[in-house]
Amino acid sequence: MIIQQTLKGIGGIDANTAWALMAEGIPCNLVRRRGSIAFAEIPLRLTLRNLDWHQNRYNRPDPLEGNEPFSWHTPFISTTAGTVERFISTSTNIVTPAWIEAADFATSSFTVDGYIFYCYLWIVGRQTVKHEALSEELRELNVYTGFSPFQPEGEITAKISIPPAQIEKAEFLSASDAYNAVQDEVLPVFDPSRRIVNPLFVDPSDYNNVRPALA
Amino acid sequence: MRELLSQFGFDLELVERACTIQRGIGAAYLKMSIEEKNPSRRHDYLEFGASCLRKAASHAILIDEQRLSEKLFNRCAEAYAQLNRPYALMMWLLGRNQDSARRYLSQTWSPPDERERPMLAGMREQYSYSLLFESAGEPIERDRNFDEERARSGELHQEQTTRQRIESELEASAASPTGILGIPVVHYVNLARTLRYERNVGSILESLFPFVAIYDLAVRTAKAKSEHWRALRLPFHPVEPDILAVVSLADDLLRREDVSLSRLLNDYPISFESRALLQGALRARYGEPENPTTAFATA
Repeated sequence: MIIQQTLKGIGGIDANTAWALMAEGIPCNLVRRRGSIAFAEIPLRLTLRNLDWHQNRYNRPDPLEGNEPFSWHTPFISTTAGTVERFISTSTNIVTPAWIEAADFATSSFTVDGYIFYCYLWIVGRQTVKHEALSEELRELNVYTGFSPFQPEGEITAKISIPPAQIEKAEFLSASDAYNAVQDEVLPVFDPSRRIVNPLFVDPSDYNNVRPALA
Repeated sequence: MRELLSQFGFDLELVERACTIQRGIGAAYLKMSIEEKNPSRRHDYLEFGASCLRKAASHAILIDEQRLSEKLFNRCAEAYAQLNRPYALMMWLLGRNQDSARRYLSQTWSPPDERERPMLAGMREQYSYSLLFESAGEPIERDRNFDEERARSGELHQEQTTRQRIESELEASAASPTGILGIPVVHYVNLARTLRYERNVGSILESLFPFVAIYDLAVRTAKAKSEHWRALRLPFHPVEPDILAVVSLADDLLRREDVSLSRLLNDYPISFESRALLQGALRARYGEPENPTTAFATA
């Protein structure tokens, strides 16, 4: 098993909400909308079909949910760890850092302020959709072999809720500051005074086998 | 281009924003590569920065920022040249920077010593771009006296030997996919030979067709997934630089004969979207009006 560092961008939330997410865990949309779900329902939701919809048809009407957008009912939680993409035109591989995708999600392409949460998820190098505690490494083509235009997002998918002990901190990203930075051809920086460190976090390096996100 | 893209359902505001973001991040990573001491990380930064600038340059075409696009393609080319990738030639071509491209070609045209077998180490397909670019630059009508002089000095022989060696290396991997759309190497070799030895409209159109057809197939397939298409979540760019560079190369040549490839594209059996995107990009490259027929219309 590998303990994988991942980043989760959430936009349009304030510091209080960020604190609450670290105290209670980051829920999937299904739990967030309903408040909770029955334990018995979880295995029914954790299916390959739903995982495929989560990756490739996220905002599409879902006939199994009365044609409401699938995203309202997803039991999964997207995070990113960056990815390596083959670029055949130059016969090389491109390393895409995790923060790029996380920042894009946190700020909706630099239009709203947001937070990037630093999380640690458990992965095992195989498909483990039915196991709530384990995450799915969708970015790994040797595990998820089907083509997806979203594969370069470097997704690691958590399930139902990311527990507080697995969330290290949240970094604030101002959309306007980030956009101004890239206009000046420099990378956006986080404001350290607005960083939130989670007191409930348990450092997984106390165990072993931590793999950092691509930087 | 903007009007066309709205018709196709692209979110132009998103494209504009993506252009700025990719440009800024790409430029920042190229700067970071200069300061980075670790060669492996330096390579990663250069590659990532160049990739961002390539996307930004392509986005710039979509939003009618042709000059910005050329500037970005040129910066991108410099990065690929630093990475020793002849793909830089295609980027300079789109940046309309023939001088830099020719200088780079003259420095890299001769492959390293055969005994080192460098072309087998993942670099062989890169010579597709060198061969194509060199073939387009070769004048078809040569000065016989000049050639005889070069033949006496052995220069011409050396040039032919180099060319033959590159062609033979590429033929050894004829079916290998090259570029974003995975176009087999053999089509680059065929087009290069046409540009070198059979430079006439019919032959050029025939050799160019596989590139346009594969692009068209990609566009048609992408359009079937409308949500991905509108959000530009595609495995290639709508004005894919790999294709646009090859088409522009052919167009540059044909224009010397007063032939417009943009017009000839009407004869290819391809989708309206593919044709419109390629024609729009070619028109922007030459600063031509959006719709030439209306430019001459009278009230």
